[in-house]
Amino acid sequence: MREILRLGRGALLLDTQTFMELRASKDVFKKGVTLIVAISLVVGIVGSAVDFIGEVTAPPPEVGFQKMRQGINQALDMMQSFGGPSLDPKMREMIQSYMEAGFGIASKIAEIPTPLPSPARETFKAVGGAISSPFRRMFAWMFYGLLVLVVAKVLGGKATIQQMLGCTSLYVVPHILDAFGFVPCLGALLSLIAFFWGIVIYVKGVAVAHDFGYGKAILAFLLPLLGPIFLLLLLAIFVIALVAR
Amino acid sequence: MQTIVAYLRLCMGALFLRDESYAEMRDSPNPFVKGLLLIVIVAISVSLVAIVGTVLKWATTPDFGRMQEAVWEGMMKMPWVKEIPPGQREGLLRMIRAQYDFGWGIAKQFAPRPLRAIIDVITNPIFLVVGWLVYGLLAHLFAKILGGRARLGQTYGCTALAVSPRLLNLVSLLPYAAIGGLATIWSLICNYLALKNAHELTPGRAFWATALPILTLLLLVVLLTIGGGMAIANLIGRSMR
Repeated sequence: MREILRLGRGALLLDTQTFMELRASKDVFKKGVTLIVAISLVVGIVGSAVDFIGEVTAPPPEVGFQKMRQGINQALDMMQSFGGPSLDPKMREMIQSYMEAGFGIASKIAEIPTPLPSPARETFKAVGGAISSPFRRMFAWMFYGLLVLVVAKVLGGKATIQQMLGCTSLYVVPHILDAFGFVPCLGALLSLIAFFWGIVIYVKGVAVAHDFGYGKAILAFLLPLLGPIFLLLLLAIFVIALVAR
Repeated sequence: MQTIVAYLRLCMGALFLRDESYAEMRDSPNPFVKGLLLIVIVAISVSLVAIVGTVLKWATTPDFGRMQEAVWEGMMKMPWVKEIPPGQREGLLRMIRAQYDFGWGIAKQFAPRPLRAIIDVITNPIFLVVGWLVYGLLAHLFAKILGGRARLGQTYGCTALAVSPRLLNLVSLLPYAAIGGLATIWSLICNYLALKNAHELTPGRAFWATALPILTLLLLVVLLTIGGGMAIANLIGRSMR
């Protein structure tokens, strides 16, 4: 635990020594995995708990439908009052009957009994969601890490696969802020900060792992992202040129 | 019991990408048998655990048949049904129902089915072993071409360790918990280390020895699909003549 906290602090402060010690460690990959699992679990547990509370304290479906009904009717009224196309009463009636049929389907599905009562489903979903969150993050980290590793090797990088993945795993530390994602406005802002802070740490990780300068590290980080965009642009230009003929 | 603990230790080492675990497998007396046992143990354990998760998921999911009927009944109350001319209504609705049932037939394949989870205890080890045999052979051939030194048994033993990320599937004990594509990409990394250590290849050569069997298999699938498609088109063309 102390080791993880020390790694986290060093990563946030972009402390070169921390990155270098991690790279030299025999268990560099294991430490990286532990860090990602720990932080993703914290974020996942908070997110799932918030979702779970929201689900179990939600009003019955009929109340939700009534709110949606009011919202759609208000939107239709506003459309007309702001000078939009006047809605034929028949058309309005049709929209409302489709809406009612949709609500009818939703409430019938909600009424279908299951062998275990409904709270069991919500509980399992919350626990399953929290447990799955480290796996989603690890997949993205490994997938992108492999692409960056290939580019870095082409650029003359020296890191092993373990060192590369271990050093870049530190990018996850600022993402602890994602745990506040449920707070309106502030949550999104904190996630944005975490995203960019994470990128800076990732680039530092690539630089230390491969013994690169920042220029090469940024290039290795960006090329797997820009390569496909560039190819898509070329393809688009090619298609436009074909159509223009 | 001791064997299982020893295998688990080896698996953990391979999972955390420790070169020593791969070297230990390479230098063990019978790496092929050890690898085969490892794959079977992992596949059976994961499949047994998945039964619990699937049953719990099934027990908390509404019946698909009843959902199908609820949606159909709702659709029949929508205004579009009344807009169909009465003379054509019955025939058209029968046609739509057939398409609708076909769509639900596909959707039901994704519904949790405890029986299928039980059958998976037998099929999963078979699929994993066949995949390992095919990949291992191709990987050995490419590694040898690239200057590798290992025997076929050693290649098989080391690449069997790439099954260790599948252990993450033990989370399927909990319904709605999933690892997604993580096991696949992690296994790929393990295969790279397996070939690098077994054949004592340079990182670049090990990369190609790992990637070429996958590219070859993909190419084979594409060729078979094109060939199959052409054969079917040919057959349809002949029958229409």
